Amino acid sequence: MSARENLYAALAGMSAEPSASDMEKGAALQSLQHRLRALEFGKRGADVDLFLFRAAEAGTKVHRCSSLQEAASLLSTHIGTGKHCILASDPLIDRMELSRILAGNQCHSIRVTDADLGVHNADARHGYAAADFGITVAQAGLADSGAILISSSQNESRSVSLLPVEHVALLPADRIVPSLLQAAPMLRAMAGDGGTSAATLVGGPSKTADIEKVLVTGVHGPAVLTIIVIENTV
Amino acid sequence: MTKFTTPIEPENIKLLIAERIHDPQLRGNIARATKTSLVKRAVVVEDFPDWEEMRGVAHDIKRHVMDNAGKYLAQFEERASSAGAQVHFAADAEQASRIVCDIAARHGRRVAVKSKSMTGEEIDLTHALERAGLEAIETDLGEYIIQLAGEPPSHITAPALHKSRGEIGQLFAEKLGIAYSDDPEYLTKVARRILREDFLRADVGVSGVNFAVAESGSICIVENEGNARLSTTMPKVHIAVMGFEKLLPDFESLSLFLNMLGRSATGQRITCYTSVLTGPRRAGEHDGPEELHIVVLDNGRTRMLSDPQLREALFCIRCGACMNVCPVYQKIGGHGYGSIYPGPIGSIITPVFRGVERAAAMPFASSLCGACSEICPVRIDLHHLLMTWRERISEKRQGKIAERIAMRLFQFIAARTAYFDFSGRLFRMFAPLLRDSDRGLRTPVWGRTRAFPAPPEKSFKQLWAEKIEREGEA
Ligand code: SF4
Repeated sequence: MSARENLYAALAGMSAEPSASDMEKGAALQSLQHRLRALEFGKRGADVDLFLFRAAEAGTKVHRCSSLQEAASLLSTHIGTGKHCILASDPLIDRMELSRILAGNQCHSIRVTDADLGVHNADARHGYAAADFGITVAQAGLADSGAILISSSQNESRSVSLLPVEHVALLPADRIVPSLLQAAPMLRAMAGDGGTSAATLVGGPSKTADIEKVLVTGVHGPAVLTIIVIENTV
Repeated sequence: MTKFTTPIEPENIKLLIAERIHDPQLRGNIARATKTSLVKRAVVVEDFPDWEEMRGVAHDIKRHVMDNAGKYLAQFEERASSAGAQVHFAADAEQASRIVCDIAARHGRRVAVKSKSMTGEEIDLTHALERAGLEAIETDLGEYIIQLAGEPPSHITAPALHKSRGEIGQLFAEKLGIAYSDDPEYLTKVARRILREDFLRADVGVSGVNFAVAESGSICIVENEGNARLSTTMPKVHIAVMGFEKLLPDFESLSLFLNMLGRSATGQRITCYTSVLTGPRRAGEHDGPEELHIVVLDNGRTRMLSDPQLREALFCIRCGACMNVCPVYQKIGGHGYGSIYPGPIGSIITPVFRGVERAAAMPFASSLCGACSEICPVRIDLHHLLMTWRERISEKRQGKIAERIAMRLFQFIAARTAYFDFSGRLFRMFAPLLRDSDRGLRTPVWGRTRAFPAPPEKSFKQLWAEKIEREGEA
């Protein structure tokens, strides 16, 4: 017998209740779900201030803007001149006209859809790795931890939030949910058909404490994570 | 640089401990690191007034999944496959590393970047890859450090915890040819620069799995550095190794466990990166691996599952909190146990993975204080499991004849009040003859490395009687 058959045979032979049917399994899971939802961690509010506070605590740089225009001018100052940027091809970023603004700053910027980041394209990888900023839009923010949810798609590569020195994420305020529990349905949808191969929760800049528990940021991923919460995106 | 010479194997535990227990530098490194983690953990656990109920729910979810392991594994396999992942099965460590190496070495692939994985350590994957002719690079900073030093990890979440910055500085100067510095920031930068190039040229990425979500066939990987994201994004092929006990039913359960893992492990509300990967890169996506292989490992786990007592050990989410809090671990560190799974949980599962003959001393390296059971986020009854092992091992061994007679004698005396009082009096009378300076008593076996406390002048019974008498007078 193959290792697979052996494993399944062994597991079938030792279900605690040998007769446990799928229905019983479903009922048991449902009662666990019920207890899980009664827990405190799923019952907090979707509080923007708490989000900003927790994110800052985790070493993230946070800003709060009331409009897209304000966010765009903040970003323009933040990035400065002569920088190399990669932008997710997101309608929000397009509406901010970031490409145009950055060009005005003598920054070199490319959109994810312009760059061929084929697995074989070594040049594109090195281009990404040499970038100063990767700019993306977050799908959700978790108020109780200050983390954001991002995902790989046709418009957003995995690398754009991973290889550059700094990751800037734009987060519309109405995407903030209380906790990971409320984001579970989004993760489910993302994992399904029409979703993504990689959904990632980002809870701060890349960091390590492997040397004497001394905190150092920017080990492998971005050394800086900046989140700009935008109140009004219309 | 390493002054220790005994091979780190569970059967050498006594020698390993003897080497380490008198090393003040090592003890300082470990004490500092474990204490930092515990303090940080305590702060963020405060977020939840119902932490105890969270532990209960987490425990019961794991129990439920293990009770229905076959069904959840089948669901996971089906969903992962339909998302395009290839699921493989391995009965033991050797089979697992053969499967990984076969895939890794296909089509002339040469360079493998590895992110931290205890399951990978369990099957000794890095060495297997090297034997298969690949360049296998550890990319977690802690793992990178100990790979340079040629040592196994000493903690499941902080593998280089036993090393001071000075030792790491020397190591980097020696192996990487850079100028000596003990600045963690600088040393980290050096590692980043070197490893970044490795990520960009790697053919294969190898990772572990923290949680496997049955409802979607996703694997979830938790980390802080970004090396796991890079290992699972840059190379064309991603191979993930997991024990089937990593299964969770759904994303709601995952959200609970993620809330508990970061807090218990490093005192973080959430770790920096939590990747939920479902199949390889999809059509239209710009990067990510073309192939995703998931290797599901047994290696003694079904045996553990069929054991009514030990099966609870499969609930472990490898947070390392039981190590940080263990007074024995704090003194001897991970290498003192001789197993890549050290501390309380390591002493329970190593006898299963490595054979009870080889690891028989591990369950005895504990004070049974119960701190581990109290801190464990999935509420594994660790110290009772340690006792279970002790019972089994002692029963099999039958003990030395003298020990057996002594225990019988004690049983006989302790059950009879008059005999017990009388022997107590005898002991107090003759104890001064065994006195060994002020350290206590010199006793043959137990006292070779420890001082047996000298008995008080009066027994508790006497003191109690006197107290009652005094109070009666007052
Ligand atoms: S036994 Fe519990 S405390 Fe120890 S590593 Fe596993 S989950 Fe953490």
